[in-house]
Amino acid sequence: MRLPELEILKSAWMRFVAEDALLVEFGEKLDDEVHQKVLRLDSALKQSTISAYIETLPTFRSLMIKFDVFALSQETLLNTLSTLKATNLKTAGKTWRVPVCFESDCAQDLAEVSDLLDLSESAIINMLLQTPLKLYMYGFAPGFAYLGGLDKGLNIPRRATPRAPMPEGALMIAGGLACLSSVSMPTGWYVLGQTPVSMFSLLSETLVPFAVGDELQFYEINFDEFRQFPAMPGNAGAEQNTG
Amino acid sequence: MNYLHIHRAPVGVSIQDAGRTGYLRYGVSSAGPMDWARHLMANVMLDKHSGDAAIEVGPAGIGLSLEGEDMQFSFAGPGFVLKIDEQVLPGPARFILKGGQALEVVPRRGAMWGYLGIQGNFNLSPVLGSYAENSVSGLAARKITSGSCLGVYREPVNKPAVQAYIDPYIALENEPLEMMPSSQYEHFSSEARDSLADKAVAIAPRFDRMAYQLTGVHLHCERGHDILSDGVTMGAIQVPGDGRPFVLMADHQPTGGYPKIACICKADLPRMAQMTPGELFTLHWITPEQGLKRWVLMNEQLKSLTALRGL
Repeated sequence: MRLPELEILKSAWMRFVAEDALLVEFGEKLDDEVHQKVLRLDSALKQSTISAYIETLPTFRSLMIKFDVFALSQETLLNTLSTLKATNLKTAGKTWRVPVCFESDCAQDLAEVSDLLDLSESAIINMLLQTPLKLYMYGFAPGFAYLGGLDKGLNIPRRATPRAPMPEGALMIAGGLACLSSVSMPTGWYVLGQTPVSMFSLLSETLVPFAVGDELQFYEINFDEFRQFPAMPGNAGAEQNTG
Repeated sequence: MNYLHIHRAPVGVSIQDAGRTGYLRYGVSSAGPMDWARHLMANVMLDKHSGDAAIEVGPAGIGLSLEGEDMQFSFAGPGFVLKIDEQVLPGPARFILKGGQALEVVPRRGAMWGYLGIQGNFNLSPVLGSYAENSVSGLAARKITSGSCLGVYREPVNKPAVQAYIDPYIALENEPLEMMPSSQYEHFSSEARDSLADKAVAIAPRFDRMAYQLTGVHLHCERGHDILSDGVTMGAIQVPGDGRPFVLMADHQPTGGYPKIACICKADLPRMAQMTPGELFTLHWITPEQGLKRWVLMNEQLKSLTALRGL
């Protein structure tokens, strides 16, 4: 049976953003439908016979295709994309219970955000705990996870100037999104809590604990529990809720 | 096994191969050389594969000595000279160090990045498939500092003692750097796009392997400076809210949340990397097809380097 050609490409905008990088963009805003199109193109490419692409980078809204331009011309790549076949995509991700500490040094900017948004600290924590957040992409740094689905009441612009380096595992918000950091770096985001779960480890087969599309349900732990959490690689400490 | 004893490794010295591939989706950047052309030249002079690991030398040079048997090296990078005992050698060149001999790579005017190639292989294990060091995330097969000792599986000396080559980039010195439109080109007004190409610009005094900030031009993005993060490439010109553009270099993050107006073309990335702070240059718009033609041509020239006679 002949599978239908990839319909989603009709709604895509494409540009070679470097000689060897094609950007396929499906939208500009955070949108589950847009994100699904990105993942569907990624999956279709993986299962295709195109061999001269080096890697793909899926984000919220676009797929960047890096390819070996000496083996596959820009024109051939475009032609091949138009013949891609649709593939079945796993629909639902897993849901994880992820511990977060909102006390002491773990919540460095909680008081500041409480002032800026005129919300009590406990109200902010409750907003972070009430519904799971969806992992849309990794980027910026190894294991740095971007999360969507944040309560609209927690929308706060990024800082104009970066703050001092955040700790590893910081749960941060800015620009209507949340994120979990992996390495300590200066940041324009606000640090509200910290997870003891390791977000990136060379010792873990998957490198990162959660997959794109998974949902993270945070639960609160106190500072003692945070300190005593086993410092183990991979997803030790996060529990899978449903499969 | 031979050993390289690094006695002087100021900031900016690292091991670089072609970089990591396959891990962008986990937030792991590729790293790799700042100047892919001189990195390639260092390998070509030794008949090695284009992506083999070499030592990247920053603007302050490096000093080392060789323990073991005689061994062939190569060096490419504008603005540096090589000192072996009393002998001074300009690059790009292939040369031999005798066991016990010391090498100083000394920066002269305009030195930024140079590449020391080795005839053989480092006694190191790759990390995620690569020997490259990322200065931001810290991923590295081995970080080099003063006092480091690097084991090398040497291959036999099989070439003349010294051979100098012509650097094909010298001929391009005063040409504008070429760039192509990037992901958010349409977010900028035609005035903003024109002003990026009209004005003489330079890089700011503070720079690193992650990015170069451009001075002399201020760009306003009509559709705002905060965008939902998407993928970025080396050479992309990002414009944050203060309107001061910066060029993403080898250790750039995989994704970015600022609009990208342009990307420096591959053939001119080496010239971008080698610009010294304050040195004026201009930018010129081209298409990706034109960029590709120049890249292909440059690759051919680099893979058949012209030997300099009389040495």
